[in-house]
Amino acid sequence: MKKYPKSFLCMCGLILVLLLTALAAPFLAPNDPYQTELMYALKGSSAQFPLGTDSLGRCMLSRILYGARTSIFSSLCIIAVVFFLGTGVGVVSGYAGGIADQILTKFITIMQAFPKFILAIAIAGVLGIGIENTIFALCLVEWAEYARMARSLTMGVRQKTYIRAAKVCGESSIKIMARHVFPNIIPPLVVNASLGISAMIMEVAALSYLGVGVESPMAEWGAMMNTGKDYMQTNISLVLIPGAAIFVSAVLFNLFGDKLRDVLDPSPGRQR
Amino acid sequence: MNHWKTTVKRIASSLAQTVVVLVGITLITFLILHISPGNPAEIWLTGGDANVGQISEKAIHEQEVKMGLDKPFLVQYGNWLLRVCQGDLGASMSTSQPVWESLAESIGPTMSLTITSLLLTILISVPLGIYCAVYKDQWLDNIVRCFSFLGISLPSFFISLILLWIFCLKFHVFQVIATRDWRGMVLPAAVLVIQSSSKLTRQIRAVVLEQLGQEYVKGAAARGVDERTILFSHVLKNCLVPILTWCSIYFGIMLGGSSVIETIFSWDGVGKMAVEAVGRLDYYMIQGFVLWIAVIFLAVNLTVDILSAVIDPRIKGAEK
Repeated sequence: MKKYPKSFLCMCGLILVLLLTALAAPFLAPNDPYQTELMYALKGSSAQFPLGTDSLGRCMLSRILYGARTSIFSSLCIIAVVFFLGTGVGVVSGYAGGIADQILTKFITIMQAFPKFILAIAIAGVLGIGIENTIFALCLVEWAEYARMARSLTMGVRQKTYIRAAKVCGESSIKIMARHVFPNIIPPLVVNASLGISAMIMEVAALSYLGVGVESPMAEWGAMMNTGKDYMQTNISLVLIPGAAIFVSAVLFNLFGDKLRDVLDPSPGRQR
Repeated sequence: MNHWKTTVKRIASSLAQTVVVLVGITLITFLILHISPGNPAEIWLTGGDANVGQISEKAIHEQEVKMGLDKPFLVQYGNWLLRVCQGDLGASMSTSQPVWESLAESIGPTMSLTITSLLLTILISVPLGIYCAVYKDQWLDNIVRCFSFLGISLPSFFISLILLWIFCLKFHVFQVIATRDWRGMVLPAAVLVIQSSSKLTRQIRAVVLEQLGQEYVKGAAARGVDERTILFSHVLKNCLVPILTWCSIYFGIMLGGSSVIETIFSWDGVGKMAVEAVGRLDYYMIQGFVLWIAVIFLAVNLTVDILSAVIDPRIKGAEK
């Protein structure tokens, strides 16, 4: 078995803890995150509400824990979709070449020239507010970057001897792309995707912050900050706590991505 | 002679591509707006205010005819495109101000914010990035890496809210609603600089490190070339193209306006304008904004191509 550096395993462990915390939110949360109790509104931390309550008297800790599910799993979902969609388009485009490549490249350029954020807002506005529409909107704008990267990586390997050998042996193009091109270009793409997770967490939160992300009572970090900012003058913790949650998960995923790069792709020039 | 021919050919093909991209982008935007459930005619009549009461079907229909919304989708898009070719971007559906006028009004503040932030970012990132690469793993490098890591892990709205809280609510250094002079620009520019310099420093450090590891550096050092000469006249020369590319990309991104930052600090730039236009389903305003972004994107791409060809002769030679 290949030996991985300790710091990488350590990061894997921390990410696992984060994911498990998000998954186990119903068991860890001390209160119902949707239970409003105006009597307890805007209270500081207490035995019943360890992180205090928000403007509607909902338990902050419980909302943060449930929000972790929304934020982290929607980001993972987006990254998974754009990774496979983008890589697929990129590999086909780069391997096929010719007119197909030209058309796909044009399309990728068009999607990249879009103001991502505005398009996501517009789509959320068109399809209505809700986390699944946010995910859809971000998928639609994010895949192009992966496609471009996969395309140029494919161009780099398509003239390699092993590809030509496979061609000579009569393997079909689909098989070559799936069995030979894809496995050989995957490490930098995976690194890019793992570094993209934290960006997605922040973008989902930013859309929710602008009010086009999740629907109103749903626990989500960006939305919590949006409601919290009205009480900034008196109670900054309503903004600080969800902000810290976003920050911590973004740091963890960024560190994880860095370590993953060291493991998969050790050349120093690949840093973003 | 031959050289000029290929140059003209390249410019012509890149112009043709530009047109394709512009048409594609505006067509997709138009399509998204077209399938959205809101009716611009109704929004026009109510002025975006839901409390006006019911407006008769007939009035809505008349307005639709007036705005050309009763026509098929492609005809509508064609009409819009024709008018754009004549230099008419249409009028805002909610204020009836010409789109190019509102665009010009919001581009000014975004432009000044962009130039300030980009200059500061370059002034911070370029020396720091180079320093950290040369003195890798020393104390300043570790500190800078730490900070840039924090910078890329903080969402812009979180930084904005924190700065707003500290400087506007706690210490009253600035007003909550940004004024249009330099005082109002300090906080939004600070957020932009924190974010982009965190990224740019990392990128510059990485590319300088990559160059420092190349064989030619070892060769020059073995020949006894002064370290300073190696760094400034060999290594940095090779780093110039990627650094300029990134700077132009940041320039493009910033010129597109940051919706979140501009909204939080009430800075009347294009990003804030776009968010408001989307909220009111203001077709022509949104189209105008998208056109602006596309033009920037293409201009940045073109600039990068030209600059890299000018600076790095290998790139010119690599193309057919």
